[in-house]
Amino acid sequence: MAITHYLKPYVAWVTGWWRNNHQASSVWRLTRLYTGLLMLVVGILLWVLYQLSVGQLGRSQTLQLNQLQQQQQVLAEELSQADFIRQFEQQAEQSRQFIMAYSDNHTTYGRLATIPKRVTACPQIARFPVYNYNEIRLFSGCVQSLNNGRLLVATDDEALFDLREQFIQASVAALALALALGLITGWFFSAQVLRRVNSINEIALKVEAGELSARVPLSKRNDEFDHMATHINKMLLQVEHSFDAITGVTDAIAHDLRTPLGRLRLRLEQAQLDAKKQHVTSEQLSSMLAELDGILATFTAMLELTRLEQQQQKANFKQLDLANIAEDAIELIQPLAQQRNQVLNVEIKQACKLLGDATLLFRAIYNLLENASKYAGEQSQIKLTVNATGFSLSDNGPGIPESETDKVFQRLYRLESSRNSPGYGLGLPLVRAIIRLHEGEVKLQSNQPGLTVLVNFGE
Amino acid sequence: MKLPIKFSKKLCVAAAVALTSTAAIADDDALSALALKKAGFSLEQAIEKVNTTYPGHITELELDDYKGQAVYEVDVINLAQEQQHKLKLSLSDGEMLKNESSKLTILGVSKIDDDERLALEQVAESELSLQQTIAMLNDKYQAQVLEFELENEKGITFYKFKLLGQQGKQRVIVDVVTGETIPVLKH
Repeated sequence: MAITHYLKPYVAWVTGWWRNNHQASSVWRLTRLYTGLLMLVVGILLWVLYQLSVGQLGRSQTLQLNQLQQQQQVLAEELSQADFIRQFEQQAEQSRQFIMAYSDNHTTYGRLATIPKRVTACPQIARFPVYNYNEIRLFSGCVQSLNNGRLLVATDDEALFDLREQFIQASVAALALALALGLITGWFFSAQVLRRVNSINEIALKVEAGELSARVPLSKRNDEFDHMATHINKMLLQVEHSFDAITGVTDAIAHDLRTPLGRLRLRLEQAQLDAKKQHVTSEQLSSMLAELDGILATFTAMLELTRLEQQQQKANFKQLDLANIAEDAIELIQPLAQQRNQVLNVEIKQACKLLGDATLLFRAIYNLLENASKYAGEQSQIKLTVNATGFSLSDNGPGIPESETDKVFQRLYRLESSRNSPGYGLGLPLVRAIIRLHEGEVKLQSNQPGLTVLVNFGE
Repeated sequence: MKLPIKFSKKLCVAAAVALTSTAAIADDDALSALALKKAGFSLEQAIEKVNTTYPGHITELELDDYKGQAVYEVDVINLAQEQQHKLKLSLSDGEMLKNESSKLTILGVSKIDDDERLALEQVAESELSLQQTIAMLNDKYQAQVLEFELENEKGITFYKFKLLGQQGKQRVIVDVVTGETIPVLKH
């Protein structure tokens, strides 16, 4: 056919394009899937519509045609030839919708001048041309052989065929529209979704290349992609912090352990000189040992801290009252506070029941009390308050500048003002690790003057 | 639809006078039939002459008058040479009175449409001969072919004959491809 000839290059182009795009990005895969589904739905709808309208008309027409033919067949068998022809002529004359013709070997009765040779035998229906009012019309019908001749029943169903043609044209147009619409909207939506996925991919690549500060951009829609981006950004922030922390710790170790190690070296040097004079005193040796113990304690604390931070199982956890632990800690710190003429106040507002490790919690509270006592200075006031959800510890010492409140929790971090006092900057990180293990949070606030440590175990 | 052949009033009057004995039917077709009956050069002869002189296919033949005498007006199209001929042959002696030839395409635009072209192609392929068909019609219907036309409708190519016989005027449609008569619907 002429149409297929014209279509050939286009079909070849489309199939070629399809093949080349077969392994293209998921934009096209999604688009094709979406378009395919859309076309399928439209196709099914059209098919159902066709069957209910044009198809139904065609079927009922065929049925009537066959009934008419069967009726005449029965009449031909039962009536005499003359009676049959009489009734036939009458019926053929009356019937407007159906055209009937009967031909014995000499004459053709009914509406057609002749019975065309090429019409198929009933019930197979074929189309054949008939000349009517100066034009050719195509009728559908069939021929049935009777005892004494041939019977033709037919109907002018050009309108039905036109309807069918129009329906098919409309369907093709609808499908083409669905295809275009599907491709455009599918591509648009897929591209939009994948653009966001790709933006996350880009950030991942940047981070992989070492740019830890890269963050996934957020849209204003607050959808799943934004949630994902928020989580990824949080994760990246954590990673960045850990990275900084590692660098910080390394620097801090190098910096802070160099001082005691240097001191130890000096003392050993002195001891070497003294050893030549053969009078190394036991005080010299014990101060060196104390120095070494300090260094070892630092490492032990660091290891413990790491263990605490990584610890997830809470096998040793028991139901306990924080107030009891606080009282024990106060008791232990009392002599130290008295030495410094400090006033210690304890206020138990409510019992604080929680699941936890008593030893660890005791260490945390004692550490905080020790810090308060150490840094608040002589004659300061220290107050420990226990309530239902945690405790707070305030003093009226020099406090900590606002900018430093986060940093003091970093390992080996020490305030400039406390550089000269003993300690390795592991106390507060240890406290925080313990509190976090108990699913609590620790915060530092200014007491104006002084410092308040707020510990909250939540609900 | 073609209008009936227009005879000049003079000829009409002349024929009407000649027809007074059998004046039952006095329309144009009857006049044409009479003219044919009296013709010295028959319709079959006219077809024969045109076919030999102008190779191609006759797309239309009708009776007309030209400068006071009855003529066969024949249209011939030659697809191979892309030529169209409009001929007028005298009814009395078959003399070629007029011969208008023209190209089928003017400035790349074809004078005939796709349907007509298809019709001509089918005629060329068909084994049906025009002369045999006319002879068959004359015999079968006992009638005289007055005019015919080649047409194509809905993909079907056919000759539309107008016959006049004992039972009166009749249209007979013959499918060019199958050679079959296409039935005419009675009303």
